[in-house]
Amino acid sequence: MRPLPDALHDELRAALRRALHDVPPRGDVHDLLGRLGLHGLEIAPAAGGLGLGLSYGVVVAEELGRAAACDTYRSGCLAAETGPTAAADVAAGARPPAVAPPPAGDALVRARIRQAGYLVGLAAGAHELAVRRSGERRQFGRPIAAFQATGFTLAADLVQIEEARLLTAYAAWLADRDTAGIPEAAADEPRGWPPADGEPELAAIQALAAAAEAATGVTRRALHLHGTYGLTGDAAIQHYYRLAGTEATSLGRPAALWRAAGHRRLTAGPDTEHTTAVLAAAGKDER
Amino acid sequence: MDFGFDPHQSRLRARIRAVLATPGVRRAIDDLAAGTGEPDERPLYRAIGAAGVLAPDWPAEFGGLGGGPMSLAVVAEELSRAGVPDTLHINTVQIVGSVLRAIGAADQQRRWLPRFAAGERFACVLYTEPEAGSDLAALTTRAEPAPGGYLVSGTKIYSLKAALCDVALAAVRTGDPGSRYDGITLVLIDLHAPGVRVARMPSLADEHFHRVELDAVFVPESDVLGEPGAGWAALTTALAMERTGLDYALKAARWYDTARAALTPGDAADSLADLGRHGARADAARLLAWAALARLEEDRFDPVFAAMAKLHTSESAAAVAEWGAALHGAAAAPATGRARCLESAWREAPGLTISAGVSEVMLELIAGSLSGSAR
Repeated sequence: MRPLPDALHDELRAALRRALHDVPPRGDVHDLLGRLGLHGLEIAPAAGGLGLGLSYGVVVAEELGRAAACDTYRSGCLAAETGPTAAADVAAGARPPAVAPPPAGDALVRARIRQAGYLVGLAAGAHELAVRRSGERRQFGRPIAAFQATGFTLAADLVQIEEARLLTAYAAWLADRDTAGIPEAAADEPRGWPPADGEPELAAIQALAAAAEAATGVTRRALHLHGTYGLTGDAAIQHYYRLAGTEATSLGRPAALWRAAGHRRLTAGPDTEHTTAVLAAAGKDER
Repeated sequence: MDFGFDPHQSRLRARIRAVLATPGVRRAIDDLAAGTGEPDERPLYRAIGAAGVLAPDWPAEFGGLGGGPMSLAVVAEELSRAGVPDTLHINTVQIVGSVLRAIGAADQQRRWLPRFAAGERFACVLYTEPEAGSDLAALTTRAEPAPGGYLVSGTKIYSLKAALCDVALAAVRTGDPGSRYDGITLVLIDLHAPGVRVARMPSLADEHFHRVELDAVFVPESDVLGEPGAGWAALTTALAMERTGLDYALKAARWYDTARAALTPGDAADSLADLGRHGARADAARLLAWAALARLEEDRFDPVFAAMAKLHTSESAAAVAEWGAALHGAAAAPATGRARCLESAWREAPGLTISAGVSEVMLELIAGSLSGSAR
């Protein structure tokens, strides 16, 4: 048990953050990612990739979201997994198709986890802008961050971001473990463990729902803390807010995701006979 | 990132599970559940302590297994799973034991730690006073110098389990009454000493509080922890290290499982989104607690991360309790075991966001850490 980033996570994050530093919001970063050799991060070495797994993929996705970048990373990984573009071509820097059919199965699970990473990044990037702005902007003789109403909003948002980040990292770890075929732990887990009953599907659904709500909520409050300036074309924050609106629903609306998560929680419930009746009443169409 | 328990942790888990399954321990747990009123868990802890698993993070010479903070968390998870009430363990081993290990002198450690680990002696905490709660630096309990030690006078309140304990870790003022952070000293108080009066304060929750009146209680110099007058730093560190949030996360998991299992078919269709949402919150609480523990384990303790973990886990447990009560009601005389658990949770929940650092203080700590803020 070590739910902390390892040295490679930190290195990857730092390198990407440096490279994305001067990219404007909604900038195209396809070539930049190519120069860093990151298109094939999750692709098998046999196809010219690095074979690093989703645990690292979500770090890339988060940093892209933090920069509010228009990336081909998520669509590229998906295209390589579902077939429109050969994995070797994606790793070599081919652009994936702009429009792809909605994914299903394992590809959907993995796409949702990457999407959660990107949304965590959007929230984190917007939060950093809000922290900076509220430290600089003075009203009534002091920085607005010095007012408790502002400080508490920023503090609570930091916790919401961390919650979504951990749920995402956990989902990625679970999906990687599933892919690697590592056997499930024996039935000697503590109560309430493993999270999401050890199911990558449920972990992905709840990570995406939590990250989507973090992105829409945090970007909205971050824009609010910018004042009217935040609405103007000059303000970077409005790009985060706009992106959150579209990215939060692209692989399932949060309301539907929470219902699907609840349905899965019922099937994992302890009392089978009772659960059958509850599930029947809840309807069987929730996925 | 690794979210799996390693073989060492799994072995420890198997070991404590075996201890908790022995007939003597099982019987002691069942006796507690069968009793009425607030139970006396000391016989149960003696039975577990005899197997040497209560303080796995302490060195062997103090009755431990030489592990780190995570090994203690494994034990705490298993105690919770087996239905062992956790307050005596948290106070004795996790709080008072940790402070003794951090700043206690060698003879103080030798005197108390092995008996704590064996479940033979129990400790509670005397920090809060009628006029000093979140603002602990306002405490006024006085320690006047006396030959060979101090005479301590004052009133401490909201102490859990004080009536069952042998010794208390108390924060007292040895310095100038007008100062705040200077002149605070941590001492061990013998709760059987002359001048100590323990009175029960009834509580909304199942566990009652105690008011501890100290009337010129003699505390020998050998029971002063660390440097006299320099207790504030140790106190704030100890408070911060309590804040991994694991105990709150365990409550969130237990209450969530109970509410889920008690769901009626009629409720189900309306409750799917809440089931998903609260399940995710309970999961996230557990992940945050273990992430805080991992930082402790690697000597990278981060008080701001701990504040985030404490805030999230306690607020999540309270939210789950509220949901459980809304689903199932919190009737005064619940019939089933599940309803009893959820009714008790409803009464316990408000205390979680207050104890070990009220949510607003956690938000202050987090807000103060944000760069660019002028707080």
